[in-house]
Amino acid sequence: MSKVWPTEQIPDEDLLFMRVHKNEIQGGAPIPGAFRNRGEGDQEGMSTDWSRYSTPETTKLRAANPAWKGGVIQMVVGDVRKIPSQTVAHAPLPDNRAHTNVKGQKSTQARYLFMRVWRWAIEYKPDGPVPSS
Amino acid sequence: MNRKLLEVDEVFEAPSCPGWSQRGMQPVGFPFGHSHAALPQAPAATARNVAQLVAEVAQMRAQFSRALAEIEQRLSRHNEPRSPSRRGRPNRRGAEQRTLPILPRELSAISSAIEDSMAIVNCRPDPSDDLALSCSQEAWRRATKILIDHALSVWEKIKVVVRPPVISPGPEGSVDLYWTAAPYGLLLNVPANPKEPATYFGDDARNPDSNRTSGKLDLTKPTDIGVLMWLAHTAEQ
Repeated sequence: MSKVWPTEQIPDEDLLFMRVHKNEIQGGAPIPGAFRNRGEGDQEGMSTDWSRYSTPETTKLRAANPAWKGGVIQMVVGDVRKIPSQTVAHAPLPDNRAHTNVKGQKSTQARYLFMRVWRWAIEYKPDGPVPSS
Repeated sequence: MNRKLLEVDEVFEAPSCPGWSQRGMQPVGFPFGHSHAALPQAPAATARNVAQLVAEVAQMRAQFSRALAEIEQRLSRHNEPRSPSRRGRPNRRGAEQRTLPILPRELSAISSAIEDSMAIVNCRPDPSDDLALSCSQEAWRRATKILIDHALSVWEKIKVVVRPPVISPGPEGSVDLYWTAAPYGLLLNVPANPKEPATYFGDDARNPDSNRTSGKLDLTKPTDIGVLMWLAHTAEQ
């Protein structure tokens, strides 16, 4: 039987971690297209992990495909909430208590502002990931 | 050379050229000097010969056209500025690249960015990325045209060189053009649907609440004044 985790309120000062595939990295930074919604219905949103229950390393290891290559970025929850029409919703999954959706339309403005707030947690280099200092 | 010309003049006949009577057809305007001295020895032209000649001429014209196209292609390669980073890479130029206009030398970084961005068009699915982004050639073409129109306009109007943007696939088959030159930035998204207008947003990180730009491109106009002004901010200093 899988565990059901409670949905919690995420403080503004916490971080969200997100995987970025190597194909979505150009010039050492994620491309704006990396910030987009996935999933459907209630689960539609930009999938991230809450720093209270995850680390950049565990977020990276959660990639479903073992051949997955890329880096992990982090964003301050308060900065994400300042982006128009974006909401941060804890949406724990049975196997991932940290799972959090960033909901709201990823308009040109929203994606531009996401490009302003991300930072590397695990930077991807073509010959391997580089842990951030 | 002059001597030879004089020799030709010596055998000048025309315009009432008697040699034409031997051919069964009348001349239509041939006012220059020529001789029919060898004509009586030549075999009479037959329909078969003419057909053969026509075929040979057509073949020669085709060969000439191919050679000319090859020369033009070599010349355009030679004239295009190359960035050192592309050396050793496979030549990815195709029909798309040849249809792009030739940009001034000062905008060579824009040309290089466009050429490099061709990789995002209809890219093959990566088995390690189930949700890979891609865009159609048509969307890429519209995006690069917008880029060229704006870069050329800024160059021609104020002689400022626009920085090359990051050209990347966006959501739902769209194409993103992203400029960043601290503190200014601009994102311009060209949707996959040609009937939908491109949208843009940019700001000044030092003063994002009061100094920003946003809007939609008018499909009937090649450039947008808001984008032009912002690109001038992000230009090379």
